[in-house]
Amino acid sequence: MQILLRRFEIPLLQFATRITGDRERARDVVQETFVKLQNNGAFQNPEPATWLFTVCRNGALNVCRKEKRTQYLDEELIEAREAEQPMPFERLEQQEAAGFLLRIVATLPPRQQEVIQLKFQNDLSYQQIAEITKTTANNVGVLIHTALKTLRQRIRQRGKGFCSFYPRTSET
Amino acid sequence: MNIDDSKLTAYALDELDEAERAAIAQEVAASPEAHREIQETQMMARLLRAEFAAELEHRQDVDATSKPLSANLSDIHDDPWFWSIARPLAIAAVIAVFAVIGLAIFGGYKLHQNEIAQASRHPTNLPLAAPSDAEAETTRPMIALQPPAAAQPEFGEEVSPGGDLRTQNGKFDTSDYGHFIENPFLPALDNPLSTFSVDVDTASYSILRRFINGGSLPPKDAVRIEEMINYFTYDYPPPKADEPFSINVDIASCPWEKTHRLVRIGLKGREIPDPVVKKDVAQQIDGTPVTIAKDVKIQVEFNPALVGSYRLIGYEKRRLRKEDFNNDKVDADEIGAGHMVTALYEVVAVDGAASPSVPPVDPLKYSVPPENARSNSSEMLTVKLRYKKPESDKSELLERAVVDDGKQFANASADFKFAAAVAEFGMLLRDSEFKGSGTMGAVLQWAQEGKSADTNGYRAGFLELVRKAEALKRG
Repeated sequence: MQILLRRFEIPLLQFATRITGDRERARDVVQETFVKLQNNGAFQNPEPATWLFTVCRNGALNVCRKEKRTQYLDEELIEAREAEQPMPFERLEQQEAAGFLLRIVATLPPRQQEVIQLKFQNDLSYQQIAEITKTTANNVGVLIHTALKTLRQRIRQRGKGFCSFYPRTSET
Repeated sequence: MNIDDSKLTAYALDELDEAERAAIAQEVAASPEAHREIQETQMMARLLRAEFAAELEHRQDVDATSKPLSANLSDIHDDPWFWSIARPLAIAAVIAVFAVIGLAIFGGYKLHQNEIAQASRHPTNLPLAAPSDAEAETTRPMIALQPPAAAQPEFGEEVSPGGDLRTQNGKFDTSDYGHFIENPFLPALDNPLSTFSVDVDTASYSILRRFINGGSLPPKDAVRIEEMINYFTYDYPPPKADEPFSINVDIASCPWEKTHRLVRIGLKGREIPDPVVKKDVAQQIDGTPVTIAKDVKIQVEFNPALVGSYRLIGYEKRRLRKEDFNNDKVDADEIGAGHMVTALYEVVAVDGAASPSVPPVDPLKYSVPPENARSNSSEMLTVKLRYKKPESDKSELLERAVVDDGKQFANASADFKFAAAVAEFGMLLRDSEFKGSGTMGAVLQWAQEGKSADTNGYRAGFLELVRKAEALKRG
């Protein structure tokens, strides 16, 4: 349990923050996820990663759904929230102070960000990611393919300012 | 074959079953284009893994300063060498590859694979080799990330992050770390108020450490001096019982510009007893302590009777308009229990000899300062702090007035010396026009004098980093 906690706490927090757009709520969701893990004895599950991310994702989406309902009743609150809170990924970016590549990742559509995190932070297979995100492995493949392609394009555009040799080669 | 196929990506990431893999492998063998596509995908994958791991490492750094429980995340990354050394190299490699492709596409001419390979054998002519995966991990990069020695910029000229990085149409490309211009010296008579929001982010230090450990100097705009200073903890006393912060100010001569004064302002948030903090398990691991105040803004009022001009070191991205200080609708950063925030000002006395970096201001011809523009107070400045309690929307004010007792840097506290060393290190890395007479050697000396107990070894790590940077600067 302790090992799982150490291994997945922060990835899960980031994962949930990306969905809820709010660190506090994400923290609640992650805590709940671990409580469920303990209660269900699911830690003997051969694939704890898939289980954890699935439960965490459901929890985060539930929070969003509930939030939407309460917000709907209170228009002023929506306006205040929209004004002071950036998009979830922007918020994440500020808080995580990510490197330049992760900042580009943060500009991808949410679904693509999600699969990229699961694939490259948590080393999950297409099949596992498909289970977590309730889609097919094929679709995960398309999402990752599209995301990587976009990332490469954006690096190509933005990487210019990063490398001192660029002007020299334009002369050759 | 169609290289824009998600199957190819799946192949590169080893996600295909036996039969599919065999089929794709055959097609790839016949297509150099597909082969390159796979290499790029794999390099991208490696970079992403490295970035995610580095981010977790950063989280670990942040957590380690505040919570011992989470200091043990190291089992996530089994090979720290790869992340610290190979990552910058891998980034350089990927950018090199993409730059070649970008040129080939946008430059209107095509570089063939054998030309690229040829270029890799002549790095001095075209340091744009596309290193293979193995090379990216094991060899020093042929591409240095640091800028070439740039021509001395004219005073006031905008300097691009890479030194001299004009693109062909003469525009600067400043997108990566967010370009910013350093705060200038401001005359206290016209601008008695200096306002900014607190910054407790420390990412810049982790980023530049990874660059230097990887064998290259960081891009200038990655160097945020306030984040470097705030990476370290300082020995500030706790606040009074009824206040959320202690405000601590000390002043001594400025070590890189002896005729100037250096002012250090340090805030320390109240500590919360352990049981309160441990209220939820996720929070412990996350290491984010309980927020004790939000929308924390600092405003420093300088006394123009004593202060000619001043400069806030760093915090370029955190500056607020003076009106924002009292405007509760303008939000700012929060401060957690036990958090510290440190800011440095370089101050020129009203009749003091200013360095060449302080622009002279001609006396005004038509406006005469009113009689009361200069008070008789012996105070150099007042620090004002506005904050909201976590559950409140109304701000409260704390103030602290300070008199300069004329202390010399040699007699300053260890913490003061260390903070000054970190600031000057940042200015040297930025090749700032405000770096004064400081050198890497001087930074080492001040940091050594300011090392003090250093129970967590962070300051020793800083000394090590300065030594490496000094060696890199020498070339």
